Amino acid sequence: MIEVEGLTRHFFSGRLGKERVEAVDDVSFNIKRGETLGLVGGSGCGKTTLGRLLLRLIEPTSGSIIFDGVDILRLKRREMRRLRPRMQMIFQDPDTSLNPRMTSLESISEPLKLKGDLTRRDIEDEVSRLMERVGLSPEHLGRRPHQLSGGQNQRVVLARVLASNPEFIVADEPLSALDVSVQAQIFGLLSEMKRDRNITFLFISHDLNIVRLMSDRVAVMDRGKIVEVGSTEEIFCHPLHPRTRELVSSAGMDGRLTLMLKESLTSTATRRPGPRMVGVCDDNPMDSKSSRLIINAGCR
Amino acid sequence: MSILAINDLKVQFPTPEGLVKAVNTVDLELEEGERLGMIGETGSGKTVLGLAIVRLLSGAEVEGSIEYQGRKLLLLDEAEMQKLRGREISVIFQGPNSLNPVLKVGDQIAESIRLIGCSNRKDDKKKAVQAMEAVGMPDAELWADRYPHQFSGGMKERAMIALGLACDPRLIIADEPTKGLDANIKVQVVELIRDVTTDKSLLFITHDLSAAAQICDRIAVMYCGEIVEVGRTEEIFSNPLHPYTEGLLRSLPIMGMRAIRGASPSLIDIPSGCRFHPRCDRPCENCARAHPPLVEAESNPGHLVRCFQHDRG
Amino acid sequence: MSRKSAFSVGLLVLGAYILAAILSSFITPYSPTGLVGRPLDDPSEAHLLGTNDLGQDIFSRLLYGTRATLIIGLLGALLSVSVSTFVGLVSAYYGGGIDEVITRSVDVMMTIPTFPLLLVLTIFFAPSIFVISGLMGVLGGTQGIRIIRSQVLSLVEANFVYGAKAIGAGDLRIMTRHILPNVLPLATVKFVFAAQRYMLMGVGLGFLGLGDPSVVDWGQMISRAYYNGGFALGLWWWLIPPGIAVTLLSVALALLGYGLEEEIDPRLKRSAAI
Repeated sequence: MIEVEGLTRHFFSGRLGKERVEAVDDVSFNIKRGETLGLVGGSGCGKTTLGRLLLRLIEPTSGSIIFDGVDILRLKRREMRRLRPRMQMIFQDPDTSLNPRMTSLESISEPLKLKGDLTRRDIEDEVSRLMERVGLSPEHLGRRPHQLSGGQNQRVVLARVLASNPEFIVADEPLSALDVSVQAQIFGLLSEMKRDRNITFLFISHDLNIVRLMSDRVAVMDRGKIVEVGSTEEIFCHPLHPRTRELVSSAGMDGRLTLMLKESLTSTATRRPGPRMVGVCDDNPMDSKSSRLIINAGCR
Repeated sequence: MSILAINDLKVQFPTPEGLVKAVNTVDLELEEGERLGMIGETGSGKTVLGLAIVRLLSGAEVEGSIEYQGRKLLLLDEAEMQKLRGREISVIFQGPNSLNPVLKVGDQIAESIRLIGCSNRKDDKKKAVQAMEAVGMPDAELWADRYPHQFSGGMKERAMIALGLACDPRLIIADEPTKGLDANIKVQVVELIRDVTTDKSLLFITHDLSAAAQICDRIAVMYCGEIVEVGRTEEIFSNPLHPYTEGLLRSLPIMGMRAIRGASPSLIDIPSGCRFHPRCDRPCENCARAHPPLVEAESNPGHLVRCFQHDRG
Repeated sequence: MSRKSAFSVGLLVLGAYILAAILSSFITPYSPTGLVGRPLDDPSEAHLLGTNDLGQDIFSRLLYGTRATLIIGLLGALLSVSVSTFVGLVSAYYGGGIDEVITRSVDVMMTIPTFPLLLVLTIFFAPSIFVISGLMGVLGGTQGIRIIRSQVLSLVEANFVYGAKAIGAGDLRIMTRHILPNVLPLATVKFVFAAQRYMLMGVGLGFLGLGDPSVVDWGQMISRAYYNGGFALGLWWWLIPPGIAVTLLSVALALLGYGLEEEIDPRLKRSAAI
């Protein structure tokens, strides 16, 4: 569905703009329809810039982006605008993702209004439906971002994104700014969206454990380049590039903690059906004395 | 004797929207040399609790008793409190916002050391560099002469830790030291904290379960202003008794990220009875009416839970 | 003085002035330009503030003067803020060549002191209060462009603006619906302070005799009183009231601006981390 070829974006900084920084450097990859591609890397590696480039929210210096057969970089402004509802973005900080002077109702209605062919009644109904879908109640409609929590704001963002009925979503660290339990809730919402509507995702995160749960394939970025791409299993179990290994090893949880968590599965099993741990195999030996989990835990 | 004993602590903030009951009757004891993790999310009251101990809260109404080595902290006047801060009880804040951008890092640490009182003008710079070395900064002398914007996030946190430890305090309160750091930096900071606090008493306030697990001997879980479970680290993580604790663990990516339903209650409008009951997936009849006390689990003394059903099954 | 009470007081006083300006033709006991009494009369029941050297009623002139002063101040400020906002917005939003050109021009213009330039220009143009306001608006506007521009620059990078772009909003919509409302608080505060400045400049021009001769003008009143012996003869009722009127209005506007400043900031500082 998405094909990227030789995408590059330079920034100029330093005195008189002489220093050239290659935020994204000759990047090529593709994403199949309905697939979720995880994009990981340390801070400053260019993953956020790449996300924005894919939606053409900033212009690349060179390269091509083919969306459903159309090179979006060649489109004129008007044609691009018509295409936009099909590709949406979720940002990291829910508090700045919404216009601070607009209420939730206004923010969610906006994409519907831009469609141009819906009556006021239709829009109201649709907004109610979306609110319910993301777990918000009607009282939140009249509130502005500073009156809502991070989790609630992120739900408003999701409702707004869904209002466009997109086929492709770039999620740029959608969970990082949220509390642990709220992360799980929003993650659940994203998974549902993925299943219900077969949406294609680019899931950008620095937290590999979350990426592992969500993605089919993973791409690793370092200093503007993609250094490794593969299925989730391959990346986590047999990382090749040193940068990938670095990331995977620091994502590995503390061995002792993992053992304790494993224990909790059996002790709480009597109270509820026990969930399985993700990425940890029963028959994989874990050295409890070592402080880092062996890289290929959970792998065959 | 325990180095820190908190009894019946209540902290409230009057606000235009209502009375925020941030901390509600918390009892807690910290032994000398023990490292206790306070785990909670936004709105749990954990940070307020930490700041209340060193009396750095403004506009708050504080009731109850906080004893440091037997001394009642809430009865001290500001001057006596200042003598304790930094020298005996030290707070490590989050790095990013706590450094003054226009001062060199070494100078800031030196000045703080001098103000706290464990050094004079002659030696403070030297002590600052020593403190920075102690937290594993290579070429500490060079870095002391640099400005905060030249420091990475991880290094800023190290500087904060250096500052907190410079005067060799007995009790350290660390407030979310790993927040906002990259995964590989977190690993380093956690190891650092673990190493430098081996012979000290530590109150480690965080939402990062992994960090707490690696550093602390005991864990206390806070929800909606009160402690809902407390016990040894192994106990809490391998045998969580409170539904909220269980829920938190299940929310971890490695456990599948299954959500607890509902949202954290506001600290103004606290649910009746057990504060967690609106979100619990197995509430009993009593849970909405009566407020469960913190009791010892029969299976394991030292493991305290605030739940009517903790020993069922 | 707390921000809130500063705001209320400033607003109240300004309101009183505006009311005076609107109602002046109805409530003045005499026509402001008519010769209605003995010259240099002391304050009496018939003439609350006495008469000036021509025999005009000072009180009526004072009330009437509110109009010119307010028009210059408010209209000038309105024009100025509109220019700053529009140009700043366009410049920051589109960036690139347009931004360069505008920024350089502003840099040049900022080196020219406003008041002296204003003096020179009023000599060339017919000195009607509207012309004066217009000139102030344009000249003063250039000063404010920088500030508005930098606010807009930070807004343009905000996630919600990218979000609006992503759902297909056009440039115009983004500028009017998203960026402008967030610039408005800043613009409003600037407006109030600009009004204060221009009001004082207008009085200054009047004092120098460069104002609009066809309207009653406090600056003119003060100048006349001063040069025609008001000070020497100790005729306080002639010399001082216009000065007090100016000062009071200036202070009121300052308080209003001070009180408003609170509005733009704490909104962003709402979240308390517990």
